[in-house]
Amino acid sequence: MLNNKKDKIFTRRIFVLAGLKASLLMALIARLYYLQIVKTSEYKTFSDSNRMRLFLIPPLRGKILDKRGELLAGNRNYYRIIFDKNTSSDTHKVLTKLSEILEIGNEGYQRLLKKLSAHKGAGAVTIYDHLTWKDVAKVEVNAPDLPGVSIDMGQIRDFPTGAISSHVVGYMGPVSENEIKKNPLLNHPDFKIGRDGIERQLEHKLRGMAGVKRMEVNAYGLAVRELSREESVEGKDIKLTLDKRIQEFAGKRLKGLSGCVVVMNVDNGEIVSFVSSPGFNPNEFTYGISQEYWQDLTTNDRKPLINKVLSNQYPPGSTFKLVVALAALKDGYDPNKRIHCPGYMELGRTRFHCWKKEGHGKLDLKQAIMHSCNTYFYNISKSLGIDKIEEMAKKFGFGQQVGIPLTGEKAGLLPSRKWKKKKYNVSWQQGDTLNVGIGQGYMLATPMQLAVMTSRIASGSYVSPTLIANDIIGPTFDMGNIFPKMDIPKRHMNLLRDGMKNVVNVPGGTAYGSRIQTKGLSMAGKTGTSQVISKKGLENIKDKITPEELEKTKNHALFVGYGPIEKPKYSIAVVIEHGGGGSKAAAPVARDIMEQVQKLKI
Amino acid sequence: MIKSRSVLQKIIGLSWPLIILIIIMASIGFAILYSAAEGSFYPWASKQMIRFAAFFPVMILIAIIDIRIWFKAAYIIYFIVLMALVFTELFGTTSMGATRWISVGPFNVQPSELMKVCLVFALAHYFHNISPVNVGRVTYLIPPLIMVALPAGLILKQPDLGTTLIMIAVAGAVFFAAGVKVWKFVLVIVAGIVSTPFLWMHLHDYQKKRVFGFLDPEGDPMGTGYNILQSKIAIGSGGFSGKGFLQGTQSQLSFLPEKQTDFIFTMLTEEFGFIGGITVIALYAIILAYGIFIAAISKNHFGRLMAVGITSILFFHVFINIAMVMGMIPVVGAPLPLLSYGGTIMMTILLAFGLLLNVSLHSEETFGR
Repeated sequence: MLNNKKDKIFTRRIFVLAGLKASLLMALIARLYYLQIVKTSEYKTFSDSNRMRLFLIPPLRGKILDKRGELLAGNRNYYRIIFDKNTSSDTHKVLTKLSEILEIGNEGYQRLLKKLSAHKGAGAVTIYDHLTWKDVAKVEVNAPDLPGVSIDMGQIRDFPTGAISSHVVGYMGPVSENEIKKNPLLNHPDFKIGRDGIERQLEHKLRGMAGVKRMEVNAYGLAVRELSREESVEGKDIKLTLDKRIQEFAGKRLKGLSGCVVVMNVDNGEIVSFVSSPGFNPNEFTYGISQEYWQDLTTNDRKPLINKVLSNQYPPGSTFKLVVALAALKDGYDPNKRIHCPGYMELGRTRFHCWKKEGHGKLDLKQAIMHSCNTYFYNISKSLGIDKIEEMAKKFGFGQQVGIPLTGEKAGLLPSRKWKKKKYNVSWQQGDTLNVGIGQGYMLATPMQLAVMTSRIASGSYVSPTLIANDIIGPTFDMGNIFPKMDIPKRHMNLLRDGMKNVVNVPGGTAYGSRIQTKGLSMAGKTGTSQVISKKGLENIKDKITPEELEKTKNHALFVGYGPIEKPKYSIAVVIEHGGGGSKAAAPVARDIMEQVQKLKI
Repeated sequence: MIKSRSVLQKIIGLSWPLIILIIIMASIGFAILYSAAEGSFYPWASKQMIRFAAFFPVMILIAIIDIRIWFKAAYIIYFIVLMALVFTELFGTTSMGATRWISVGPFNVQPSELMKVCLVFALAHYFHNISPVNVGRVTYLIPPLIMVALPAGLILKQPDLGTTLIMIAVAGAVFFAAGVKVWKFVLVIVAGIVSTPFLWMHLHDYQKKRVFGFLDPEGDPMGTGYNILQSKIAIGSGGFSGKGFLQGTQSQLSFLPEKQTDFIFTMLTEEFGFIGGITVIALYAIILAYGIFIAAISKNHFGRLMAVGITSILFFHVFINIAMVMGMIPVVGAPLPLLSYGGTIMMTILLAFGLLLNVSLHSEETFGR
């Protein structure tokens, strides 16, 4: 009876228990249904974002080439050490071994450790950059002792001509926060951006398009396999008109000097050489510039960072006399008229000196060019007046940018009545005209402008410079014809060219010492000296300054020229800062380079 | 009383459908462990198979030993395991802040797992002889409560909240089946709720974190909530038919923690989807129903209470584990019987099934003290 009651209770209760359990199991199924059927698409998205990562494939940057296809800026493989935090058990041991292999000592070990700990979380970390090929080999050989260490290859910009072409080609630098905000694709350790020169100006063409690969990663962020891939598009190669051989020749010739050289092809305006000295090594910037090197660049009084061809303005000195002569001829001046030079000219109570104290004696125009007589040009400027000089100078590109696809180009200064009134609220004086007549005074020009002037004299056309060759390359394209002829009578030009020929090739010419003596090669030209400080001013401070400072007061040496004489093909402008006189410092440089250019028959 | 049977007769008389269900379930486990090792028997599946093969004969042996022997030995076995728990407390191996293991020769054993079965043993023995009238008396409830409290206290101190809760729940089921009045359960539950704040203060930080992680898994996705969140993502992304065997991205790419132990159900449902999940739950339901059926047909009170207790052990493990991986309850370490990798749980479950088979085999037997 009792047992019967016990049985009854028991049976009832196990059914209650069974019911409870069944309903809880139903709850599990309901939950499973909710997760796997109702919410599944949401969780699938979560799961995919867990396992898939997009990796940027940086595009190969376009090369910068010279006209013959020689490399001015290219890409080089570089190697870095990646450490995978997940696969290694003993970080200390591996890093110690690695620092032994790389021979970087305990200090190096600390640096590796710092790089590693700077990276939060798991995954792969770059701990060492820019391995030499030898180090790569050593690490590979020791791979069994270095669990978790692997070598990764990246691309880095390489500038084989180094400092020589730095002002044209430019350099690469890291992408700034601001730029990343504008274009998040740039947020990749391999991405650098062009910071100067062609690298900067043609950044959009050189860069190319980044590719994307979708990788499956595990929970530690390690890529397991590739899911899909969209290849990157290589950047476009940029061909420049430069000739690397002349570039390097000019670079070496200017070594130790502060100055610049521009060589142009007068037929088509192509810039054959463009060197500003001293330059900076763009490779140093790519690596992440060192404090010392930066310090050196910014404090160097020869200003390696300044592009002297475009950004420095000098009084053109006697080279400007060519323009004044043309203005006079246009005005109907008789070139055979002889003027006596006693070594100076008086204007009112002021005496304007010729560079030759004892004077040149009687000269005609051609001789005045050959001897660069100031007195002669004082006289013709005085009768011409500033307006006519200004008009002619404009035709040769003074006072305006010549238009080069590089930054920092200055316009020079072509003074006029209007300009002086506006600037100083003083009216133009005749003395001002005299100064401009010999390329001094307010007059300023960039070396690029001097090269353009010379090209136009040599060709008689409105030559304008080209730096990028891509656009002009074509089998039937003849650049020589596209520049309009200048409206200057041929006999005027010929007279001027004769004068320039004599400057270099006739004894007594200011650059006779720098004539080209190789048979079949020749050069005509004009020297110039641009005053840094007036003679009077120098007298006043001479005794109070150090020899180094005295050196800085030396005049800039200028030379413009073209060659060969009979059929001009190349023009050149050379500025040697504090070189003294044009004939002494600038003309020999021009001679060497022009000789080389003609030898190579570019 | 039925005349004694030969060993062969006993083996033939075993509940073979149940045994076949156990083998099917264990095989599913091997397959998932194979997948968890990215398609390799090493290190988990092979070891799990060896364990199953080793304990399977033990299960059969336990099943055919006369139930009266077990009845008589119940208290002794309970006492031995209780001592083992004390021993664990004093000399056990500490790992991850918990002292749960003792070494027996080359094996590490968790006495707390064994205790679940032994407690059922002891309680079944106790209630076997208590008349319905006496079950109603509070004084008669004191000895079994002590039987529960001693191991529960020791295990809670290890600390192992999950096992403690399962043990109390199992004990509750046995008390309930034994006929303890419903109002007493209500009283205990109310007392439990009232004492929650005091208990909370004694919880370990990691246990509190787990509760927080359960309440707001997205709040700290890389911390305590990480496991739950990744588990839910894995289950949810499995969808109706799953990602396919060896294709579970969450588990294969290590987003899922402890996929071979506590989160094995997650792995199953990621790779085999809703169909796979429901199949496994259904198989458990059939095994549980079988256990309740055995309890219902058993003619001796010891046996049927054992059946209720063992079924409850199984049920609470299944429910707590699956509910946990689906984010329904906080993370408490409860392995999934027959599926999760682990030696002690495999041993415990097969011993428990051995006893269940034993009850089934001796359901016609009746005996007194």
